[in-house]
Amino acid sequence: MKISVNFNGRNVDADVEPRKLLVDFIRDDLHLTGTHVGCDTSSCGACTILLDGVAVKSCTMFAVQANNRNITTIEGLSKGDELHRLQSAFIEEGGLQCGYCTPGMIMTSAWLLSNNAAPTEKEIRNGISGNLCRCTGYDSIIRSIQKASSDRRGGRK
Amino acid sequence: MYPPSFDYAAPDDLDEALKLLELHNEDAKIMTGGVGLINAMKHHVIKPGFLIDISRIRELGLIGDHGGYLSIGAAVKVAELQRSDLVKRNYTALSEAAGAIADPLLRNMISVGGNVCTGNPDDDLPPVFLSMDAQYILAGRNGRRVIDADGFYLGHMSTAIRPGEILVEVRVPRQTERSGSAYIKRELRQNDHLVAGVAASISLEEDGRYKRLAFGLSGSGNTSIHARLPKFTGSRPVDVPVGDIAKMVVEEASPLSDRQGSASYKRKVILVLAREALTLALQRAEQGGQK
Repeated sequence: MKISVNFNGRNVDADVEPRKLLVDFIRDDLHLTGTHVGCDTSSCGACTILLDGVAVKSCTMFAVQANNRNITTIEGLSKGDELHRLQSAFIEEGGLQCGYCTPGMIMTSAWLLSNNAAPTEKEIRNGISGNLCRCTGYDSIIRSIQKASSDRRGGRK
Repeated sequence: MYPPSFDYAAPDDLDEALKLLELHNEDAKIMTGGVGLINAMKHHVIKPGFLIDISRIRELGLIGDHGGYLSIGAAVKVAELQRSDLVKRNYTALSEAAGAIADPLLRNMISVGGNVCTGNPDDDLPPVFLSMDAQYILAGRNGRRVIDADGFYLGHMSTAIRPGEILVEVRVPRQTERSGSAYIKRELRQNDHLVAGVAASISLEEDGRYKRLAFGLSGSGNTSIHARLPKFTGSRPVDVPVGDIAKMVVEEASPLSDRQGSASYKRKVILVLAREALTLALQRAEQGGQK
C-alpha cells in the first residue's frame, strides 16, 4: 500500500505491506535507528515517537496508520548540531546508564513539556510511567526533565 | 512479532466503512485505536484478513454536550476523554476511568470504542458506562440501533454487536445538579493488571434522599458487571451505612482467582473500593453537582 508520511520535516513516499510495523519502517526502511525496539508488546516505551506532536508507541502501530501524518523521531529533535534542551539536560544530569530507553524517555518528555511547561515531580513520574528504564535510573531521568523544564522558563532550578 | 498478511483500508466516511464490513464480514476487524487488536494480531490470537481503520471518520472523533446527554464518538482517544473539562466536571468517574487505562502513551492511542467493544471484563470504561445507564449506538447497512450498555456485555469477550455493525457513539444521560460519581481501581503496582475496579454513580433528591444508586465493576467476573441497588432509592444516606451498601455490591461480583489474587482477596478489595467510591460519589453529589 502506498503511503506518504512526513518524517522530521521531510516527506517520504513509500509502498509498504499493511502489516509492516511503524517502528520497523522507521528503523529498517528509513534507517533512523534512534527509535528502539524493547519489548515489542507496547509495555516499555523504547519505541516512543511523536505522531502529530503526540507521544505514541510505534511498535503497536502499522506504518499504514501513519499515512498523511507528521512523525518526529529522536533524530528530528535537534537542529543540526544544536541539541534539543532535553538532550542537553539528559547529558548534564546523567539521565542515562545503558541508554537503551533514552530516546523513548526524551520523546515522551518532549510531549510532556509541550503540554505542561513546568510539571511537578509527580506529574513527571506519572508522565513517564509508560517508559521503562531497566537500569532503574529514574531519579536522574526525572532531574534531567526538571532541568529541561526550568531551562525553558529561562530560569534556574 | 508479525501477524499474517492482511489488507487494510482507512475510509473517511462511515458508509464506506460499513460497505467494506459487509463485503469482508467474516474476515474483517474494525480498528479504532488498534492497541488491543495489534497486540492480539502480533500474538496470532486473531488473524483478520481485512482491517477497517475507522479512526479517520471525523464524526466518530467528537465529544459533545447534546442537552439531554453527553455524546462520545467511538474513535475518541481515552486521553481526550480523561482531559475533557466537560467530562471532568459532570461525569467525573468517566474521566477517572479513562485516566486509569494503561499508561499515558497508550491513552494517546486507545479509543473509547475499542475499550467498550472488546468485552474484556478488566476494561475500565464499561463499568462506568453501566453505572451511568449509558447507551451504545450501533450502525449497520440498514440503519442504526440503540442498545443499553446493560444489555451489551454477554460474557467473556462477548458482546451484543452483530455481524456488519460498528459501534459509532456512546451516549451518557446528563447528570443532574445533585449527582456524583467516582471510579477507583486497585493495581498491585502502577500500570499492572488490575485486581478490581469499582464505579459508583448516584443522584440525590432535593431533600438529600437517594434518587438513583448504581455501581459498575471491572475485574470482578467473566464480564463487566452492573450492580443496580434500587432498594435504597428513597433512603437517606445517613440511614444506610456505606459499608452495608458495599456488601451488597460485593454480592454481585464473582471474581476469579488468578495472578492478581485469590477470589476471596478480590472480594475484600471490591468491598473496600465500593465503600471508597460511594463515599467519594456522595461527597461530590452533596457538594451540589460534580466538581
